Amino acid sequence: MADKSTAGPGAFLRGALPFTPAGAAGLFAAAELQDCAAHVLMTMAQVAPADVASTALGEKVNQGQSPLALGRGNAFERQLTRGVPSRLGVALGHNGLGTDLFVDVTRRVPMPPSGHGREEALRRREQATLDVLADGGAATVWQGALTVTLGKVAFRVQPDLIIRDDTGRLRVGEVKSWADNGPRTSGRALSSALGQVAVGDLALRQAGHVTVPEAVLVLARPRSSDASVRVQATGREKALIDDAARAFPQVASDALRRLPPGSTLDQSDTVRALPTAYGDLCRLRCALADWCRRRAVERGDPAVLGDAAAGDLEPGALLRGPNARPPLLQAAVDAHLRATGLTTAPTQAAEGDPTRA
Amino acid sequence: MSTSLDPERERPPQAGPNRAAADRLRLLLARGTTPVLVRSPPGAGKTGLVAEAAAGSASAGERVCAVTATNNQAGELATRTAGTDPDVQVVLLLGHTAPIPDTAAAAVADGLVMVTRTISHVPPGPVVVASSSAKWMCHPRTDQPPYDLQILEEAYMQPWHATFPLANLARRHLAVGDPGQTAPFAATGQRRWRGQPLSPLTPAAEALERLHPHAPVILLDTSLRLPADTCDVLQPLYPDLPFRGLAQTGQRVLISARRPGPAGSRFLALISGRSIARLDLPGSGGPLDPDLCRYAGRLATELTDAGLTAVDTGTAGPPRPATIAVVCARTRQVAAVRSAVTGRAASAVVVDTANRLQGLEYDVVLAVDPLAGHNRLGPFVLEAGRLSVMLSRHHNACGLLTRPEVALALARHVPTSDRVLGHDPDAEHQGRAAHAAVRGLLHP
Amino acid sequence: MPDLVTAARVLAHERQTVVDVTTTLRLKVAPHALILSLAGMAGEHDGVLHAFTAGPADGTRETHAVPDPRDRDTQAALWSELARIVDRTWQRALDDRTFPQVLVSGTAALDHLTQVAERLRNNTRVPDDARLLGQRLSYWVDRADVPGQQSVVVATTALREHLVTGMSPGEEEHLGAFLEWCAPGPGMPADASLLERVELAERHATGPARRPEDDRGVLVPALDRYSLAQLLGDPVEILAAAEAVGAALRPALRHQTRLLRDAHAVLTGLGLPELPDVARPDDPRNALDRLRDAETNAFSTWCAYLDRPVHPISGLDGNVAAAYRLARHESANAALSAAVVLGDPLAREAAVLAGTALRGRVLRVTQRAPADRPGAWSRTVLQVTLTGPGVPRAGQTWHLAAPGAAPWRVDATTPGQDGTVKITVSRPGRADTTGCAPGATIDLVRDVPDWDAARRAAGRLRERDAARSPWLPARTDRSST
Repeated sequence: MADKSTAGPGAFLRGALPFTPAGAAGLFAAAELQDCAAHVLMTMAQVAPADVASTALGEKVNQGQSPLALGRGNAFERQLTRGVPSRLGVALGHNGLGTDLFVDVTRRVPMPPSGHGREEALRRREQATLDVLADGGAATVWQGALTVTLGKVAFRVQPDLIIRDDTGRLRVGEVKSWADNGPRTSGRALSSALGQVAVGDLALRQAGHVTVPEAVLVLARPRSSDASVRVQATGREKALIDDAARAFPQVASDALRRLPPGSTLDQSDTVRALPTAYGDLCRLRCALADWCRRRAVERGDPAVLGDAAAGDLEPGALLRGPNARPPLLQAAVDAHLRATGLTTAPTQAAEGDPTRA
Repeated sequence: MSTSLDPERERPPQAGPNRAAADRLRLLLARGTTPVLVRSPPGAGKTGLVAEAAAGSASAGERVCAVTATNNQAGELATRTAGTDPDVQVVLLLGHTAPIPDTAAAAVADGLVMVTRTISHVPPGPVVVASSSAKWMCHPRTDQPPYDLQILEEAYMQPWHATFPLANLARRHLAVGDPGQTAPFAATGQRRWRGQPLSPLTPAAEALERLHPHAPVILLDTSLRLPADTCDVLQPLYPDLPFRGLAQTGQRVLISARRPGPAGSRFLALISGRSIARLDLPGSGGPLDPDLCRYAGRLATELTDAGLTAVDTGTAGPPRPATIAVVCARTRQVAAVRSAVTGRAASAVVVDTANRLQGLEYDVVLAVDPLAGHNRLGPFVLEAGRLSVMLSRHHNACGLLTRPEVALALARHVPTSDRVLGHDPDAEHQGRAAHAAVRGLLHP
Repeated sequence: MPDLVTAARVLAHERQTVVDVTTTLRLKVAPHALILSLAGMAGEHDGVLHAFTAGPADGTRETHAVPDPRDRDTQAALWSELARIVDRTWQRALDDRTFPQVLVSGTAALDHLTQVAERLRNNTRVPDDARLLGQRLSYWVDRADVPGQQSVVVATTALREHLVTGMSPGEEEHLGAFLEWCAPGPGMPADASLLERVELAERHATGPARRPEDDRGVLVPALDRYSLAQLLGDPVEILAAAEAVGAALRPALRHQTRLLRDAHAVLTGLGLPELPDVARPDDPRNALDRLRDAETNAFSTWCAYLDRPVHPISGLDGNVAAAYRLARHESANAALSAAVVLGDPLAREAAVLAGTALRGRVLRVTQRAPADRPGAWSRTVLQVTLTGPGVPRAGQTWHLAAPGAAPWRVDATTPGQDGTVKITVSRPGRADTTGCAPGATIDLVRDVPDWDAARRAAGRLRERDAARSPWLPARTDRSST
């Protein structure tokens, strides 16, 4: 149900858009897209890019997971924590991550059946999480809650696992129902999971804890009902989210300065006035990708050809057209035409091109 | 044109840095310990150490096979071994059509190194045989290992799959390498083995350490080639190998016989009192930055025309005409540099890619920033090993020629290469961190 | 400088149509290649197969679906149907003494097939036909990694090997979007721009994964109906509900199949000459023939192994198997790359630009020490103007990019003051300089294809007794193929 609360410092930007702060996955996606001022501003204003796309730009956006995937994920989590010892406990123990104390925060602070009181419940879950972590000794916190702050904007995240070892250092973990397929495991899915962990890690560091930049991933073991546990370094993701934490407030401020007073993100003029940075990742991470791609095509942005090709071309290279290509590009095109026997244009021969009749 | 310096310079001194490591190595080999690993920073006299070990083993009556990545390296090792102990029989084993490498030409001509192209022609008895791993792979099966000691050179460059099949050529094994060099690479997709800590492309030294965690590892901690400030700059590329330079900062200087042109003057002023610096050129260069490359060529020409002499004020060694090299990441950049190297410099200055200059050394090296001319950075461009090679070829002076936009591109870079479940060195992220760390220590 | 692929993308963008990135054919798709469209189930791993359409490209295809693949018996029934169709493909290949070829939509489909293969091939709890299916799928999955292989046509990969669009490589992985660059698909609005058609195409899934909104709107209600019907036990309703699930799955399969047929038509209609084997002009087989021969050999070898009691289908390679496999792949890649640079003008152009091939215009030729006895080499000095950044070095061997690909051993390279280069080369036999007369443009490449290299590399590993290396872990696999 859309929450039209005026929460957060970005309320003035939302207009009619619902208050939809990013979770860990959304925050990490924003960190990966930190070159895009529009995406950063949407994140800091705590609106969903999908809502901006559909409301301000009239884009048709289909979001969300398949109910089958959701159901499978929920069933997997339930299986993990059922029984004594639980499958989760056994799997963590096999990897040297088991602890005697296991705290299920959702049982300590159940979520109310309706949306009403949800925010209070989350706040209490966060307090419960921090209380467990403040006590000494090894412990595992299941589905706790934390707050991560970017500038003055607070986001609540709910890591599946926080594991404190005997030395008091913390690791964040995520449970995913996709299979541990070794090298064939989707790099995209893995990246997102590691990113979620990095966001939780940042929240813990902001709360003054010492963390280990490693993700504990609990995955499905193929052809088995057991869990597979992998511990994976998160150097890359930590660096990205730390960069984002440093840069986002300034990027958002700079973007705001471009907007006339009273602008809100539910207006198409506002969104069109914002700088964007279309790239390969956008289609995987942002609901505005189609709209941005169209815009990039109109602007002759070489990014439409892909990041690798764009790296070889000057900005705006595609705008010049076949008759005014930059010299280096023209040389490469000439070489291509020479070898393939094509003409410079579908209907006319290239000047001096001896290969075309 | 190979301008490898006089090998006499690089022979580890009888007393001094790395001597303790050399002694420990000799002791371990004498005891028959196997395997033994030696981890070395650039310019620490690794090849000299290996030559000493090989010659020592052969003079004690053993048969030694040295496995290198290339024929050039085999030639260098053969030459150095023959120079260490002229009484030891040294053989260079080459493929049937392979030319005699430059690194061994003189030694072969002088009769110090014997060349054979047929394994069965290797003489019996104590001998040191140096050859590439590809040639060793042609060795026929024998009931017993035909050699007593196998020395695996450049053990971080050579991949596991090309080296473990050679292990049964000898009873004992010594692996030596520089962990900062470029990692092994295969042209075909490596997806199948991603995530495995031991894959066919794991560097041989890493694989050995994994399989033999209790094997003695000898760390060389002093670079004879690189002065102290260069070692400090490169240290982030060697997190597990603290090392220092034998020469103090400012100890090695360049003296010009004539006043160089403006670029040369600027460079000499920049490098005064230190051995490594960053040379920022304003503006933006476009794809692969040909203008930056041409600047490097002009600079090399001016330095050559200025008649530089390399002097080490800390030793009694005589001054000598400075050798100059320009190193780039890409072949196309090499061509752009060469187009701007004129006059006497055209034959005097070496211009080549980092890959081809691995193992070689010069008094002055001008490095065209491997990140220059790329709007978007990626795993290949960010490879830390290439940067390490480029900034570790010099004795006296190294300038990294770059643009301000490079630092911006690095700061803004978001890695996009796939993450891998399991063992994931995350080369793109590590490369980015390495580049940022090194640049943070490199001052204009 | 932008490379030729970037140049081709720019051209494609300007022309709003695909552009060639090769001037020779790298893959011959058989008219009867098995087209295989797959439907998985969201949230399920382990290679769950909900439905498929399969059949020869030039024949009749069958569609089979099961209401709930999470039920082992119904899943096994689907495997049996697929096994039967794959068996026909296999048998035809054996009868024709060639190799079975399969066409799937993209890398996601290949990954899904891999999961099915892994689930079935060594599984003693599935029927024999399913296990055999797993082994056969494993064959395809293994071959897919080999450079130059011809057995597994991943449509997006195969198209991208020959054509390029004005999109990013990631976007080209969407088969429907890629095909819009070739020609408007059926049902596309007549006045739609290319970008509009691409956007419309992207709204349809092209692989085993379905769109979440299709699951939400159509499949999940059908599955719920089926579950309820089973609970209630009414056989008529169970049947109807099962049919409703199939009906929910069929549109996506039809779409995927239509795309595969279109891709098949594009790949078989490219009109490109087959990749030649320039180094062996007297051999009637071209490079593509050799690749196909290699495929046939691999297939017959594999079938022979299948008859053994223990079939060494490797999953996760041990050290030894990995070394053999990498040696095979690297050798195959080297041979293919050499053939491509020699035989494909566009690839040669790219190599010249990159400096890995040389192009020079001959200014002067001086013949020295002409060979007049068998086995001798003659020496020639060429003064050339080189195009491109590549420079030959003393000690290297280059090959003339002309029929026969004669080797040239470079003895010396001397740059001239006037920008020219003097190259002294030795060549076997009495040198024929007609191809190198003043004014001629010559291309030189580093390698010629060595089609036997893979076999020799494997032989060396066997000779070296790699499996007994003292450096291997104590428990090491002995599989060596």
